[in-house]
Amino acid sequence: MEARRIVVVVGMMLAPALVGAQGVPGTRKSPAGWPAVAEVANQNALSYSREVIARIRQMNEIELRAGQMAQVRAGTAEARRYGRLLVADHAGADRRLIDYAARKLGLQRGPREEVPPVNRALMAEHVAATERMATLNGAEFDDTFLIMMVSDHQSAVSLLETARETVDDPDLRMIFRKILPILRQDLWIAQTLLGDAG
Amino acid sequence: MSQARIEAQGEVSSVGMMLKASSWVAALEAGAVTGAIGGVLMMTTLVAQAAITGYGALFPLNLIGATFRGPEALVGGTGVMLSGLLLHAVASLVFGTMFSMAVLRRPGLAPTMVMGIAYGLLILLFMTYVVLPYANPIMRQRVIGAPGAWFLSHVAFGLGVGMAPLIKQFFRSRGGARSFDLPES
Repeated sequence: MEARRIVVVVGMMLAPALVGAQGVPGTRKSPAGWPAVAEVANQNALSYSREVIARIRQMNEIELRAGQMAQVRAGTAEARRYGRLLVADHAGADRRLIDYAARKLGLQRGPREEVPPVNRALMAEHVAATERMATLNGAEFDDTFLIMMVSDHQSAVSLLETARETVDDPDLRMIFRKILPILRQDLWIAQTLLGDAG
Repeated sequence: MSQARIEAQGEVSSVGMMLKASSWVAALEAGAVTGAIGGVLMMTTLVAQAAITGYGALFPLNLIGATFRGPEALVGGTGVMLSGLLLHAVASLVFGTMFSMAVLRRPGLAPTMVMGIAYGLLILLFMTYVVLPYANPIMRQRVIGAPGAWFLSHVAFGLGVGMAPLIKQFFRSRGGARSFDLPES
């Protein structure tokens, strides 16, 4: 009985410390009493979130441009409709990320076109591919466009799957959880259309 | 009991049965009409949201059509859209008729409107968590991503079916006249 009382008293004394050890927002485990370590962990988590968001926004931008082009140059009605679907899906994903970044990371809202490229080599490669596509029409365009969309969406799905597991903020993980199935649908459609075209 | 009294009771009960039957028929007819109104209101909400977000006004029909064709229905043409429209119409009529039968004895418009909205939200839960995960997971993934429009469209459907008392009154007045004409013919 006495032992139980001691446990309760010690528990009550430790409770405030345990509440304080809940962690800093944006980090999973920030030990209480180590403010400097927690602050560094918090900054790392935030900069990681920023980088992931920037990468996804860059990917969005690439697929949006390709979708816009497909609406004009594609040879089949399905490919043109797929272009419109891509534009709407990626614009929606971008809106979610911008809202999140403005709300949680203090980034300024700006037009999509002003997204600074995270991976300049990747962006340059896609700009070159887009320029090549701009010279194509009809079935030739459809093949190039769909092959590019399959490859891009495979990379995007893989990026988001990793990000969903590694990002700390549950709100951001929820956004990824909502975007991911849409990207998988887009990938499925590109593969199906490519199969039909082939 | 005198013969005249028995005959009078018989006439009263047959008139009562006819009135009861006419009220069931009126409820069925009203259910079909209010289901159609609710379905149109719901589709209008979804179409507006799809048009605003850049998917194109007819995209909700593609989304419903994905029940039969999978993800490629999202880029499908007239056939997919018609199948989506047909499925939406049938579901609206069935849910509208069920509601109209359920509120057979509650003719007040305001309470029925409130019940209609509650019914619409019940359908939302039923569709999101019971029907769509098996019948159309493509649509479920997308409506969960845009819950606002999905919610509003079910409220709109509820308002449509909530008009049941008005429509029922109309059909009952027509049905009542018919049932009184029958014994004479």
